[in-house]
Amino acid sequence: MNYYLALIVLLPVLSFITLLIFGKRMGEKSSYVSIAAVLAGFALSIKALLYVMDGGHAKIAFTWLSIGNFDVTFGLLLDELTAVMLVVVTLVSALVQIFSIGYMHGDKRIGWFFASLSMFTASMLLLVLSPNFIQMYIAWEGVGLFSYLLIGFWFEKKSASDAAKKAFLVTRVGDLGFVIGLILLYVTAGTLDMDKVFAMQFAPVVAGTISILIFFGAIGKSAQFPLHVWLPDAMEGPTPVSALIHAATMVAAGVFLVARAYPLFEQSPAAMQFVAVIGTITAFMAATIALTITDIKRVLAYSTVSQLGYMMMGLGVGAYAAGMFHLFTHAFFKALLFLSAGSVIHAVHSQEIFDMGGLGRKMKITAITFTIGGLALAGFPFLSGFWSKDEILLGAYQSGHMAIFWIGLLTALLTAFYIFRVVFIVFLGKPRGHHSEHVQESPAVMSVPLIIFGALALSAGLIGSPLTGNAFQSFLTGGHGAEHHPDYMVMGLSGAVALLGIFAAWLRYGTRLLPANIISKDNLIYKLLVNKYYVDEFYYKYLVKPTHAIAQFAYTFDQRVIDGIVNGVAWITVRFGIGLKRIQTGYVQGYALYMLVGLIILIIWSCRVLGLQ
Amino acid sequence: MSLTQVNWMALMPEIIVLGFAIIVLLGELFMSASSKRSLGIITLIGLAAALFSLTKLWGVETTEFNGMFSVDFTANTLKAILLITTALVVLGTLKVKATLGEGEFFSLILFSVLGTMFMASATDLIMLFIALELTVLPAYILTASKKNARGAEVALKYFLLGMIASVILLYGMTLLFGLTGATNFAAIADKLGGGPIEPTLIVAMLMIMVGLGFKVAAVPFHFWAPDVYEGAPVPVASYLAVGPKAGGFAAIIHLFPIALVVITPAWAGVFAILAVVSMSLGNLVAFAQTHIRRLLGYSAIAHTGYLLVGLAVADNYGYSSMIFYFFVYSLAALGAFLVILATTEWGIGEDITDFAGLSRRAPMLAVAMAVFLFSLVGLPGFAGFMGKLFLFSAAVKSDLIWLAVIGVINSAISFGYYVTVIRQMYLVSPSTNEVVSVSKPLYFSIMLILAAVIFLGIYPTTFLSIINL
Repeated sequence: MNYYLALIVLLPVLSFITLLIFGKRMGEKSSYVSIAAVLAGFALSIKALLYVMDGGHAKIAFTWLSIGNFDVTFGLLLDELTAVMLVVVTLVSALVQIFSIGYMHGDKRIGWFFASLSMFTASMLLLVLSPNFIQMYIAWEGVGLFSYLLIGFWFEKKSASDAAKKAFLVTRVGDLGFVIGLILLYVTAGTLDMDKVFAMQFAPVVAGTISILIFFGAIGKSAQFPLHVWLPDAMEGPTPVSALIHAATMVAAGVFLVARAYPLFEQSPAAMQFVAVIGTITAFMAATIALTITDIKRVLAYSTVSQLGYMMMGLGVGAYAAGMFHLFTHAFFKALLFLSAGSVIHAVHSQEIFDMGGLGRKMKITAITFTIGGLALAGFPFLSGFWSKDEILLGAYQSGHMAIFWIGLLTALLTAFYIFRVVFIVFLGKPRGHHSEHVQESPAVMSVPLIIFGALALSAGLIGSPLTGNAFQSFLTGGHGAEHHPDYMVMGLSGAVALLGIFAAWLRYGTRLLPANIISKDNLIYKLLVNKYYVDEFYYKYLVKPTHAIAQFAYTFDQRVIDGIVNGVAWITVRFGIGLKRIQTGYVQGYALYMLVGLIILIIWSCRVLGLQ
Repeated sequence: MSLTQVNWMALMPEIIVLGFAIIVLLGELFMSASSKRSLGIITLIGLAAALFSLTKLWGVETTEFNGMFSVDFTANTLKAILLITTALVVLGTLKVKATLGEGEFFSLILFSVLGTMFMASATDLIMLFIALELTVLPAYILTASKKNARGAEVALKYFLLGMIASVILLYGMTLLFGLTGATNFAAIADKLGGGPIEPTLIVAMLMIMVGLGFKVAAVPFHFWAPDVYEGAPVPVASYLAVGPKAGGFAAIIHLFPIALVVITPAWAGVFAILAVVSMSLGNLVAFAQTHIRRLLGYSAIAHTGYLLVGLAVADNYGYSSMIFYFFVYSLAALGAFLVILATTEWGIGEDITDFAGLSRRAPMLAVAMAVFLFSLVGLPGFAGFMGKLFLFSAAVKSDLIWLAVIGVINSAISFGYYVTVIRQMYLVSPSTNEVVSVSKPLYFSIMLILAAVIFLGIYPTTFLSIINL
């Protein structure tokens, strides 16, 4: 049996418990425990991957609790999808944690930081290993809880604790749909075991309703429109946390959920269409917002939202393997971008891109790694992002979703533009602001993970490219996805728009050829973008405020009426207690008398009941 | 019947306990003062050996002594629970200042355990009565072992009330014998079958119920419990809170469903009434308590009420649920008593307010106490929740929904007084910041119970499969 699978989850849990108890005493040494656990998990994940590549599958299940006919089982499931996710999650988590040694150096709650990272990782690993929806939901909530704790890690800052609250509450909205979907699924299928559910045939309407409800969960967690608002705010957390959330754990959970429940989605064309449309809207909208943002981490945040939209788009148009492939490549280049940004922030002590400039000469490694990440994100030919984005666009094109294809292509152009806008402003030109004058490269413990991620961002795409016969995709689909001939038209187009976007950004920000005021700031579209389509304002006016009003009313009602009743009941209870206490007089003869009286009452009662005289 | 026809293996656990009780008593007489410390360990070994020999009898169903002594599933399970909990008490008191000589203390406990084991196996009226007396006589002595005025008063009350209960029980048994001419449970059932139900039979049943109800501290036969729990030395109270009750419930499960099967609706109905009265009165009066052990005493009465729900259900699912809940309850109650033992040993008082700030003076003790109290309430995640879940679902299955509802309401009410203790421990500042230290065996015993309460709350399946639930 593959009991080592359990170890992959249990090691970070053990690390969490250890650090919970000893974290304060260990201080900076906490990181060793946590990193050792996740590295061991990575080694075991590789073992699991090799096992699956040999054609092995595993399912471990044991009954946790059985009440009547209702069995609650726990277990672990290993298949292609899980194997890929295990490797990605443990690898990214390990590198991010190593990077954190440098980044979090000197923080007073560092033990708790690594404890939370461990448990965050463990929740995600449990999620991808879940063989049934109940366990998956538990892990899902675990991911939510620890993301809340990590985003709000610097809770002394009000913006951080607000952002944590926002992330938690907004994703809860999606979770509500998820839970309703699961309840519906249990009612119709009678089980929440994935194997059994996926073997069933549902009416399209039923499958569609359940799928879309489950997809609500993914909308929340993977920050899809209209619940994307929490992710940019989540930038208030420490940068390594952002990297982890964006690359491998939190937001990937939603995409993974759709991929895992894919057999259910496939039974309803409407649900698939819904996923594709939401994904496309998200991809496009987030890319346009990213054009005007001046906070380096927020640009990356909107870029994540946009790329997640791509993944959903891929899944929605039926290009299952392409969607997962993009998740895979995105994990590396997005982690790279975040950690590089972290390295920049660490040096400049600011997140505003206009406080930076000319950093390329002073932070060579960071500049190179960030640029590689940017190229991969932009879809520069032959880097990892190019292959996976191309696959998704190809999927849309081949399945006849022409509108989605063109919007996707346009989004690719915008993507190349906004990320190189950042590259040119930050690394070229003259230093702005006093900090960027005397910056230094970050220590090795931070730059080594950057280099590893850089290598992965360059090359990880190859295993899914036509050069290797789409090895990744055929592995994921168990060989059914079949190698397809590369479509040079689509490939050429997507490569061309990437170059075009980069060129445009260079023209605007890298040179002085264009006048600085080429885009009027009074423009309506510009205003719309700067204000992020007013989604937050809309929520505030139409959801938050009315909710506050209702809450205020409920509070008053609770204080006056409910508490009154509760206190009344408590008062009566205590009075009764004091009254009844009196029969405990301390006199033996009294006690004996009560016993006899009790006996006599029981005799009379029994004879009455049995009809005896 | 000659002695050679008896399968002595079936009595092996009892023989071992008896042997060790005598060894420990002789040790008290002949050993030097310094070597007497090992008597506690000898007692532990005896209990462990008895438990081991009991596992050899697992799954065996047999009767010995012409059907007076039964080895069966219920008896075995309750004996196992008894031996485990008693061992935990003994472990906890290893390093505690004894009030009697060590040998006397431990041998009296072993004799009481022996009585309780026979009670659990008794399938004959005479056997049952003798076993019951063997259980309580050492308990009277142990209660008075502190040799102060309060202890003597409590022990005398316990003794007088116990005697009255025994006399009523004996009277009931006599009536039953008069009606049927038999003392064996199965034979009584045979004789009663077919004939009309006589009022005398009901009276006999109720008198027996008074005697056994006294043992398990059901209202209105509970008066001894709060006084004894409060007035007896803490180690003795810890033992009395769980040990003798196991025997009482085993006897009830044997006697009523077997011997009195013809009037099942009658006794099931009476047990339902006793259940409601016990839990309601226990919980309500517990609110008015300021002394921690008195509070636990009333909580014990309330729990007797919950346990009687299993008897009101009167089927195997109900009995199994009851046994599970009994185990779960014993662990939590025993754990709470051992925490009190640890604090009193350090010189902390026993008023609830004396627990102020315990979380700062002894973090692990406070955590353990909180978990035990949560388990007693029945909060999910702890063993008590699983126990109540099965018990109340047994009631619902047998159309006793009203009983389950009263049980749930009572659980909710009970949270109110348990939480006052937790509030003191965590939210009130201590008068001193002196750290409480605990003797190693006692600490170990508490941690074992803590682990068991959490384990059974999260993963009860192993134990449930043992008791066929």
